[in-house]
Amino acid sequence: MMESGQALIQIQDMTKVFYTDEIETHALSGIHLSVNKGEYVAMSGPSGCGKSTLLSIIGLLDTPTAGRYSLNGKTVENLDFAERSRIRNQEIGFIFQSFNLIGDLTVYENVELPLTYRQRMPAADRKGRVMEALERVGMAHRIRHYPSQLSGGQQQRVAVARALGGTPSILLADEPTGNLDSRNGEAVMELLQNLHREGATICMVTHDPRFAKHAQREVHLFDGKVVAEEELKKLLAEVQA
Amino acid sequence: MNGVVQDLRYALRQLRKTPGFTAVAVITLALGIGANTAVFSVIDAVMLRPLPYYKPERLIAAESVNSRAPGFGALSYPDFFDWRNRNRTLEHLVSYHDDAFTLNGLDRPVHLDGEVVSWDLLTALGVSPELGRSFTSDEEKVGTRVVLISHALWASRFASDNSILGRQLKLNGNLYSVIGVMPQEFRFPVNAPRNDFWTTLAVDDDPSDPEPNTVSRGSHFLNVIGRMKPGVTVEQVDQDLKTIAANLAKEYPATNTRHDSARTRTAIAALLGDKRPALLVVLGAAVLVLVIACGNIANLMLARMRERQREIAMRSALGAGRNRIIRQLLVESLALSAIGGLAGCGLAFLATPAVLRLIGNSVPRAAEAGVDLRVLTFSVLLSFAAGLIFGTIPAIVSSRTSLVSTLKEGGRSEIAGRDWLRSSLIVAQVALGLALTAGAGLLISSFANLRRANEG
Repeated sequence: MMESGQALIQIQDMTKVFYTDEIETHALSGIHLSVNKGEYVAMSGPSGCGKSTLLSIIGLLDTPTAGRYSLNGKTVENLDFAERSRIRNQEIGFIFQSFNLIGDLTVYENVELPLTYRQRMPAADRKGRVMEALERVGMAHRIRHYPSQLSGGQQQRVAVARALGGTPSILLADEPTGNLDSRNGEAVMELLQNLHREGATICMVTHDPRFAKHAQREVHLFDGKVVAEEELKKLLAEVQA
Repeated sequence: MNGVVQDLRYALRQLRKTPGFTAVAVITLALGIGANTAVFSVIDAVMLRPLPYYKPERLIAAESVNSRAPGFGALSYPDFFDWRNRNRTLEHLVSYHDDAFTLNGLDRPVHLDGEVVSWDLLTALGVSPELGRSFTSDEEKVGTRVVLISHALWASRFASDNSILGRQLKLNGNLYSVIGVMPQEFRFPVNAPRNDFWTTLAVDDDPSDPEPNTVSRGSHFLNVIGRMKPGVTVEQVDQDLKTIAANLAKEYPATNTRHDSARTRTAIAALLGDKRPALLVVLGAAVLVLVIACGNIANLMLARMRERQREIAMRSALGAGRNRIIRQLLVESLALSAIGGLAGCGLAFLATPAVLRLIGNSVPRAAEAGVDLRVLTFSVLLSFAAGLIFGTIPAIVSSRTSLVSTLKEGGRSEIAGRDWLRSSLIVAQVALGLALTAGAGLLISSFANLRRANEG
């Protein structure tokens, strides 16, 4: 899918502050993170530690309050909405906890959707990519089904196919097993692992240590900061105490 | 283009999926567009279509006026002859008045409506007979009895026989020679579509009458229309005729003191008279109804967009730019308005005859109204405009959805923030509805007062 070893994501001193009325919430505080091409990174930590916020910023769904972010060698933290949309469409594949398939579109149309937002992509090319992505996740036989006619595991596989269809630089998965039973959860994790073996770069947010172990590298977050595993355990113990 | 087709397919799927919303929106739009289309069909026939004559913008209608009292008057023949001879701004000035004759000599007597005109009527209008010839100036002379008949009379009473030319018709006991047959579509005056014949003013010059109408300056009963010379304006004609009328009042004070001035208008303005503002008020009311309908649908769409916030956010996350999202939502609105427009056209098609029955003969040329290509074009444009009006605000608002909070499980952000917009739409609808109701109430009360008024 892409060459490994080079830094695909570089984040320096990133902060994200949310303002609600007069309350400031520091979701991220001085994050430094680098993800290489072909790497499989799991971001874990307790609820509210900022892992989903970090993933949203990496996915250009949100903007940082401060700090620098470069994706595939391009500085992206201050791009306008249209440019961020274009980069999301061409460089990033999303997999969400709640699948976020569009209920009124068939499996085929859901996977095709991001490709329809690309300028001047021939229909035949689009069709080829959609079918290839669906075959990779084993859902090519369900192209005319609607999401409501699929199980949770099948829906998530379609969501993975949708993310793969555009041959993105990176796959971002936000709790991809969160809405699945353990058997389907394992199946999705296995699918991600296969994609990684084929060269995909993956950033996954999970709070489940069993699934985090599937990744090559684990990044622990606590109170908006990246911490070492030992430190995280110590901090969690302090909180529990 | 492919994307638009996809958007359209998805839009139709969305509409099928929510039959309740679709039915309410289509019925609302059909009523709004149908009312506007029906009213426009009348306005088009009455106000917008040019008069069916050559260069109708150069045709004027003139009246005599008493400068010391309100109101407008007709002309007498001697006044008309003086206006015709003395003016310097008109190529032709034509007199006309209606008359009714009885046609004898067929299997039974037939009542005919007709018009007594000066010889150059057809020249002034730029119209030629379908068969035969126009009047000549000699045919205004005393004792002449010639007649042009309508196509309808020719077809119904004479079986469209070409040998009708030169035939003598017995009208009110006198023999008239048929010199021509007018084209089927010819109307003069345009608000008298059933005229059967046109004859010259020679019929008013009765040799047995000691003072025939043609020499009686005190008999004011003539209407006049004229064709302006090239480059002349209505104002110049008006000034010209005012001067002539004032001079005639000085020359003939016994008969013309109350006809000492003139008023000139374009022929179409004169034809419409005071109906124009009334028609515009009705059109305004119909437009208001459509605006209220659009506000109502925009409100429904805003409510629907709340339910689709997650889908829109997802599309945006997958790379759809704002313009793309707006385009998709506008295609949905336009699909809805197209269906509403179709239903509205159907409604207008059914309603226009009823509207015409209500109007009766009170509005000139209204009988010619109907849902034709022009009216359908208006309806299509109106539907498009309605789709844009009720679709734009929900589309723009939805394209600004916050991605992160909406995509979170159960995320429904910014809902409260949009309530002001929905509230504003409701307030605007109520305000417009009140204005419309008050206007309708005033119209009804004026109508009731008019019906009670003593006509004297």
